[in-house]
Amino acid sequence: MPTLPPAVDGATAVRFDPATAAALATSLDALAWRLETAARVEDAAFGRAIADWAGPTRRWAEERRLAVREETVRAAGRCRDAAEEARRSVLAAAIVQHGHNADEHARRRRNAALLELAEVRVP
Amino acid sequence: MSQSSARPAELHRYRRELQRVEEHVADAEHAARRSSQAFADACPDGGAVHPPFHAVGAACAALHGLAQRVGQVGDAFLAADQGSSAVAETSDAQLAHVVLQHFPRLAVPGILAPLLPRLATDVAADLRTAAETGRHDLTDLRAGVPATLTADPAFCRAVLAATGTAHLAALVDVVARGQLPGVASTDLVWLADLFARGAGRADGRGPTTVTTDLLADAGGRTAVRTLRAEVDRPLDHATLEAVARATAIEASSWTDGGHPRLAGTDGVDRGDDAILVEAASVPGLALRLLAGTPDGAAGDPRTPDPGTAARITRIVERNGTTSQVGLAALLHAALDDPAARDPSGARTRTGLAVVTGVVTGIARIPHDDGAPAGVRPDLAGLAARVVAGDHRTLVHRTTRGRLATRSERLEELRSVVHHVAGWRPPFDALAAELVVARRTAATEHVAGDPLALALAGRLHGVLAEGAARADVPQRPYDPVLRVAAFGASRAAGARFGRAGGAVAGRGIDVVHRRVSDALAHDPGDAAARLARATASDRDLALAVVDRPPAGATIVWAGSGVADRASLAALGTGRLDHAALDQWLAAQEPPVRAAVAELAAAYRAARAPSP
Repeated sequence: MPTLPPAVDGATAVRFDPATAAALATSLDALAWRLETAARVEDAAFGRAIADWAGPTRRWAEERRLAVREETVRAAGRCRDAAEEARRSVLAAAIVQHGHNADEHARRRRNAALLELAEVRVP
Repeated sequence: MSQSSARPAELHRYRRELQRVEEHVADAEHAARRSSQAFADACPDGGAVHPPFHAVGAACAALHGLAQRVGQVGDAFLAADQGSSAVAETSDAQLAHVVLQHFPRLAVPGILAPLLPRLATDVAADLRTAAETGRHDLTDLRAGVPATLTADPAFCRAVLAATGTAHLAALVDVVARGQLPGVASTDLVWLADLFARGAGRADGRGPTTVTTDLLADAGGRTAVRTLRAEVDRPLDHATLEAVARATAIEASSWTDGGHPRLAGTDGVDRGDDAILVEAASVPGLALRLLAGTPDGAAGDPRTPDPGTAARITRIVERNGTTSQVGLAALLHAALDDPAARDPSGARTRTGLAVVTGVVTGIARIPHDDGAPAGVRPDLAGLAARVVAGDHRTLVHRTTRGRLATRSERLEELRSVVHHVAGWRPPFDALAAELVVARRTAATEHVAGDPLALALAGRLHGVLAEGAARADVPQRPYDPVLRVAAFGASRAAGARFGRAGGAVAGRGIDVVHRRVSDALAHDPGDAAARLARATASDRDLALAVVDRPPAGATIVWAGSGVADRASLAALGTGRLDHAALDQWLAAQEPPVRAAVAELAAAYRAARAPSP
């Protein structure tokens, strides 16, 4: 996981806790895993349920479970995507922190230049 | 018959296992929600993360629903199967029956579609029993049929077919009679929904055989009217056309015997209203229903199609005792149909047939005091529209042809105006239209076309005569009084002999007249209102102002009227009349003569004779 650069003296520190972001990514991964498990368990359970099952109710259940399974797997995939977003959020925070630090460096250079100019003018 | 089988224990196990994993997913979702909230609080500069909680919730709900329904299928097998084996085996129909009875949430098309015919037969059998036993409360029966099924047109068609026309008509009659008048009935609405969904064929090309059979006799047509009056759910156009043609065009609720449920609180039959109002809302249908056949290319385009006119006359005449709301809507739609006019705006043969058929039909509705027949507000409004909108055609017809024909047409027009004058708003609208027609006609007269002013004057005369007839006070009790007076005279003659009876008879006559006068309704004031609306010659003067005689100029200075706008603003009051007279007096002789000539031409036409 990328790290967050420290704020230089005088620069604004970003509001970001890498541990919280990591916890979110982990919990979303866990949720995705639970959904994928549910799809697998349903698959196995349905294989047992269809023993000796015949008639219109079975045809209905076979059609319905395919739709439910697809919906479950798709939700799991979106959870994985969201977990990846949470991991990348530290990069966004790092970019903001770099910006704040650069602003602070620029402010310092500007002040130094002004001071030098003042010393030249005053004999 | 096909069989269904399953191991209920395995289906229940499926439900349990899915419930377990669903709980795990729910726990993981709660944890993720907490983490997401913590991230939102602690990391506002980290950009947005979008956890798909909505999709997860939907997937959980879908898993839960599937698990529950599969478990219910297991329950249904246990309930339907009488055996003790691990494998439950039962007929599809019995399984479906159990599903309907105990697990209505399972009544989804996927399960029930293959069983629809059998289920429809079961429901129809219950409906037939209800009809045979005169049961008007269908609450239990309705509760046993899931909405999923009744929303399926195939199921509705199957139920109607299995119930049969005779039982259906009888059931609708029984249920309708068991409801309070004017109060919405859930049972009737349920039956009406069933009919609305199942009346037409699946391909949308017209009514089913059952509907066609229902429309073939009076009882069936009354049932269809009753059902259509209960719901707004539209029929497909082809079925609607067949229903409207059979119920309200070829027959009518009144001639089919009516029904207490179809009568308004005033006792007037409203049976055809719902169907005709619906038909009026379908573009082109009104004219197609009324014309019966396409507008014939043959024949003089200036004359109405005689077959269509006679058909419309019959329909209108037959509705003399009904509410006329639906009929008026249908006729308005027919008059508005683009096919009723040619590209130049003139009436086509069919359009003319609608106009003349309406006039003849309304004219034939009796004016008798106290009679059940009469023209009610909606039809009076339509009549006013027809007379106002097509007055040139209608009035011109009273001046053409043989004497007998002219007399008949003139009398028809008077009769129609008599009907309209019984209702204040339509007659006042007609009077206002007359003022507009006179203004237009005066302009045309000054431009060299005298026909329009003659027609407008003739219309004025017809309106005045019709209004005068309507103003005669109604004496609804006179028939009773005449019988009473006759009986009293005979009794006096028997008691006092011929001489004494004659003296007593004169006294009885006096009392009869006084009682008749006392009970007579107040006379109307339609003629007076018409006279007030048309009292001023202002419009004639305006026509001359706009096109003064050659060499003449209009004098404004000293005339009491500043300019044309002030002249146009003059009303019909006494001071306005005085102002107009003063303005006329100030004009040059040719102008005065032109206005006088217009007024004379107009007034000469106001005494219409055949």
